[in-house]
Amino acid sequence: MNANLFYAAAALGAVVLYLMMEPRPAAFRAALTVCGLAAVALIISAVARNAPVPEAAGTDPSFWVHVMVALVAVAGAARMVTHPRPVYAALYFVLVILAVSVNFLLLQAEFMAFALLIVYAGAILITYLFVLMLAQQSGDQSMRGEESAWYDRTPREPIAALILAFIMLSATGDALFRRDNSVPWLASPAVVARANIRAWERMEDMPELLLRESAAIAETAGISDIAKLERGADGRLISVDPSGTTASLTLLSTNGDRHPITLDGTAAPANSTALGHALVAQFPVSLELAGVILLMALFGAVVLARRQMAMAEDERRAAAGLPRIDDGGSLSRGGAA
Amino acid sequence: MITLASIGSVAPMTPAMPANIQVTLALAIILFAIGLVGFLTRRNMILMFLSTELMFQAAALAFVAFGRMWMDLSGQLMVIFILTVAAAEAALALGLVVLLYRRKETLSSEAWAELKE
Repeated sequence: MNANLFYAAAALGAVVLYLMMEPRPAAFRAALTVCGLAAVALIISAVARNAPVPEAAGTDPSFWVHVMVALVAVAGAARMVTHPRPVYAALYFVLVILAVSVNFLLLQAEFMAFALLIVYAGAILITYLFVLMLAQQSGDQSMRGEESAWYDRTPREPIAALILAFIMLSATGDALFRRDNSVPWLASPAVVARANIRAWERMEDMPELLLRESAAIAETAGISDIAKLERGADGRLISVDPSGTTASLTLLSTNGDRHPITLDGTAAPANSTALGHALVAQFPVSLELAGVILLMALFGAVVLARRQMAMAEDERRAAAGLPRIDDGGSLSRGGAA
Repeated sequence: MITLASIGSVAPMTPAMPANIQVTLALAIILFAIGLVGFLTRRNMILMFLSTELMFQAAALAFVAFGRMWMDLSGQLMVIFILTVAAAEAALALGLVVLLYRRKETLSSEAWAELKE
């Protein structure tokens, strides 16, 4: 039942997207917006009613923030792929990024939310806007007096593309309506305990942070002369209880007194700390590879830009009636000249 | 009320509500489908690349949602690598697009139809 509602809403969304492809009068566009948002709301309600604990969804405010963010993101994305003017499309993509980063905040991925804003909205999108403005000055021949070029106003094979996207959406959406409980949507106590124990193990690798946190806790109990942490019999600084909710460790003060203390979840590392540790400890090779990819992209961009400079110089020489530098394809000589 | 603590900060180790995860996954697949439509229907080369960025966003959203579901940081780490690839792709692809634009004075991908086969 919910799955059928999902397919129907997806089909409605596809029709709306098809009608949005061509430029329309304002009233028609408003009606399309309402229909499109209704389609997304139907998809969300089908998914949420199918959730393992559906009654909890309506009472939780963060669920409604999720819904609003989803509506904003889908509206921005739909406008992005249909807007006839490329610069506006890029700006609608910024809206999508804002919505996605709010969603990241709601999913407790704070570092990624702000990294997304800074890297995507701040750097990548600005590059896109630069190139759009560089490549599409007003008075472009392809515009012919219109406000945008023909190739931005006419979609290519919209019906085939929408059918393909509808099939893909239905196939992937089907996974959300599985009845066989193969996906543990609600984290079981075992998963929670494992995650907590992993968080404390991260703390084990960060002895200075651990000392600082525990010394601050000890100071509230009136112990201020903490020297270091004592290692247990197994060589570890902290011992975590099996449920992972608390961890205990022993502090040594300067005069040799031992102070056992217990840490609760609030002492566990925050998102950015934990993420940084996991990045270096779990994926060191991938991290290096990412650096190499960025370096190669930098080299590639420089090589391409040099070619462009050589070509531009060549064109200027040709316009001035001088012989071209580049006749045989040796562009690097042109760049050096 | 949504306080900063409930949005998440110092004590993250609470299981996520299934409906929130599922709505986020639904958003991710919708965004991916829209990005696919954009890539197929747009004729402007820059906007075709922008549509692939939309698909990257959808993938990142799914990674973070599944990471939240399993209470694991690997999902967020994947997003860091997605950002890296997206930045590298933007730099190179846009450089190429500008190069192609200088040759033909148009951004239409069909101007390069003779390259097929």
